[in-house]
Amino acid sequence: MKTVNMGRAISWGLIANIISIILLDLSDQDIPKILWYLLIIWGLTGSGYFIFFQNKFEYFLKRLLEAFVSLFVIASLCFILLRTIPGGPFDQERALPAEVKASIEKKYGLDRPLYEQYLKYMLGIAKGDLGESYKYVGRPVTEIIMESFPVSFQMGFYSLILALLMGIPLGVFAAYYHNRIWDHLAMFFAISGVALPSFFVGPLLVMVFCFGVPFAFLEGSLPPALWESPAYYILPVITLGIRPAAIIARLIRASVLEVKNSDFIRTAKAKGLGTLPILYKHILKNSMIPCLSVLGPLSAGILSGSFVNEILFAVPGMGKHLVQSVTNRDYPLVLGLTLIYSVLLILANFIIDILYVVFDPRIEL
Amino acid sequence: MKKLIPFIFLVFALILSSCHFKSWKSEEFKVEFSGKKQIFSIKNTIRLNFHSEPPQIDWQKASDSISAHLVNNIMQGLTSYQNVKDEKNLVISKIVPGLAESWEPNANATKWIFHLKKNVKWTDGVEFTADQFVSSFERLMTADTASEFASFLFFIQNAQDFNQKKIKDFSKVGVHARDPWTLEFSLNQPVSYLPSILAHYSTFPVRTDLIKKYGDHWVDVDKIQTLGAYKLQAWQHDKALWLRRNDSYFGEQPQIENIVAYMINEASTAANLYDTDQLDINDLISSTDIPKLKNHKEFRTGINFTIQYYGFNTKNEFLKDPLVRKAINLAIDRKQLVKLMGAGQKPMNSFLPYGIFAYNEDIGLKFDPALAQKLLLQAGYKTSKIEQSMNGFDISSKKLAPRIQIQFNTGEDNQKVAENIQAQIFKNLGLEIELKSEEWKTYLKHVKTQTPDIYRSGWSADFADPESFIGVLKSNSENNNTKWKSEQYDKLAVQAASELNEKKRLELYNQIQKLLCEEDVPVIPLFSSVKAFMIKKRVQNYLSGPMSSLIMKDTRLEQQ
Repeated sequence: MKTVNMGRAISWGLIANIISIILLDLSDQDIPKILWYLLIIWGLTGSGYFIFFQNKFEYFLKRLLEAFVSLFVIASLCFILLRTIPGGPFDQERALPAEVKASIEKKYGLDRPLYEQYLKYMLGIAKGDLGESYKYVGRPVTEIIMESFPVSFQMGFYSLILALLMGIPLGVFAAYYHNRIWDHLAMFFAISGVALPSFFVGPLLVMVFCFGVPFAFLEGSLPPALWESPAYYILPVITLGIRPAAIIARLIRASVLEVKNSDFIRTAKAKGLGTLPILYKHILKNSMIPCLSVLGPLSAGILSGSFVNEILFAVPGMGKHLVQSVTNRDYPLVLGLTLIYSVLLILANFIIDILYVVFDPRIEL
Repeated sequence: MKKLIPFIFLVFALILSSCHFKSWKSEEFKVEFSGKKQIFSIKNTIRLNFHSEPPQIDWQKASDSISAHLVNNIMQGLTSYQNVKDEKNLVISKIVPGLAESWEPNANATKWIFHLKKNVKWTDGVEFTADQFVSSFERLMTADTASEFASFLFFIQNAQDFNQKKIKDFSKVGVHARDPWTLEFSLNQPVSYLPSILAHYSTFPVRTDLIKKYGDHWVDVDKIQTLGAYKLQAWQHDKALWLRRNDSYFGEQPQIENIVAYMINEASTAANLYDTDQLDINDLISSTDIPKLKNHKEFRTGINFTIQYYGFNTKNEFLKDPLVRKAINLAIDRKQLVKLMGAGQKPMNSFLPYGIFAYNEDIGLKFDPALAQKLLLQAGYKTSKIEQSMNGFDISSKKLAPRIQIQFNTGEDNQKVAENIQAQIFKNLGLEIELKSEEWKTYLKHVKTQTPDIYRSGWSADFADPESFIGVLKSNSENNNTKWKSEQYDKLAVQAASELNEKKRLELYNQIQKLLCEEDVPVIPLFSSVKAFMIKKRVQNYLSGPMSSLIMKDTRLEQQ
């Protein structure tokens, strides 16, 4: 009797759960809370299974410790760097009267010695309190992140899916038709995707899909900006997704070309396997490793929001804050956002490390 | 299970394509806010753009134009601005009664009586009385509130001492409620522009009882109580503000039922939304688009009490000589600058913006390169240009003028202006200028601590009176970075501010402007800005005035 592979069951459950959430979201339905709870349960059982059944407890602990050390270093460095750049949060064109400025600085504890501020901030983080924004008076940083991160995540997640759905087939396709016109066409697209900045691609798409230039029948088919319903997602998601799609396509092509000529593929061919199964089962699986290693940092970057994209399409996401908080010298917000970004990066890399094993069982964690 | 994958993707693709994307335009907005769903019909909703998230609503603490747009729609002060066209067809902001019905000063304007309207109710039904105004004023003047604007009410008796904690007892401060509908202001000095200060949002009353109850959370959408024509209905952070008509408003009910204010700060995005009919008024227009839009029939401009100027560091070895400063002023043709900006900005030779009381285009140094060269020579400096034009005269005893630096904060328009001025000064005077741009906060810091030779700055009126501008360059002003100090200027400024007779007042301001812009010239006035905006045909009766814009109280929406 075939034993049920638990790891596999959990991952399929997780995927099914994610897909149902996506489908509901894209059809503009409310997502029932139960799906989110289920998602958490899948995640917890997944990590539980991973830790206890695969005897990865030690590894997990090690990574966790590493993560905390990194976060601590990042927070400290960021704190120090922020205080060294010129200009403070309350400098403005209409200079504040000295007493008023003093009183505001006192309110936020900026009149205390630096080490005291640092200690207070670190203790706050330990308690999960990131402080209050200086610019947006009365709004805790955690609240700003809780409100803007989901939007950025939503946009980034769809872009990432789009990037994978476009990039992988394109790369395989190009490699399959190596050095033929299709290959060149695909790579032309990929290179343009990497080279063209989103502040060019975005307006170009808006011109085509909103103003019908040069295809008049497309006029008004999509909204040019804002973030209301699925129709509003399309242009920003494409704009954000094209670049990673191009990066993935180029990587996949290169590694597929390498794997294509290896011995086991020749064996598979000799055994009479069809082209598609060879391509997608044997070649692709073995070509994913280089792609995975860029996917970690790439997805952290995309999921935490893109400044240009959010400004261009008026998306109320986190990328805007990442840039503007520095301009405003909004210390708590900058620190909070940096920490979230770091957590995301660490998490993404962790997931990618586990995926390595899935794609190449020879790799030991 | 594996066979399911293609199937899942198929379903995914089907759903994607079956969503009727063509129908994204709907006739109503569904807004979900704090668990409640609200519906706003497009037909009676005006769609505006506030450019970005208002940093805060607490109007005693706020100090930025975005918060002001919001506050001016949901609140009202004792007086308020109404935009009307004057005889020259210029839209001006006139002071009209707000919460007060009428007011009168005593003979020398040191005591003002304001009679409040009766039956004015807050959104929660509580009646507005003079006592509430007095307690709001106490909060405004309290040091812990840290209001930026407290300092411009220091002319009220004992207000400064109270603010600086020299007096504990607020009843000694010159704001009193004689009875529930009569307010009395006692001032240290005559102040003729008191009514226009009372139209500023920082003086609007607040509900101190609610502040006591909720603390800083009194401004939360579900707790805030207001007096204006609209009330805040929902606030989607970084996205939109939703306002609905206030049924208990004491004045005439506005015709427009709802306002949605988006927070879009990219001009091309705002233009796209306007062009696809998702914005009714677009006042975020990039200066590069102006030439293209100028002849559009929906394009409008209005004057704005905002000036752009360059300040000299008058402690600089070269620039401390008024002759040099005059020469530089004379070498700049403002008309050329204004043409470059293109939106109809008004050239400025003096420090007051176009359209304000005492604006006088005859005062100030007019473009005159020959005189500029002469003055520079007189100051003991020469340049290659002067050597050329002084052919035949011996000017070898003169020193070669040093290179100077213009610093400005990074920005497309600032760059354009600086480059133009650099070229003009070099062409007309031969003076070599270096440009340096810096990121905003770094720039502010440097202007304060290591003032550049010449720095860019701007100023917007806080109240519709020349004092709002003249005050900037007083010796004790935090905003005077020129290091120029003139006792005579300070004295004249105080005198002008307290003068009640318009004719005499005008004369005093002419004197001040002459002193500032013809004799000592610590600044280079450049131009006063305009508000350029696009407005849809369905919006009627909207005027953008120099002191108030995007106020929807008197505006109408035509039903198509």
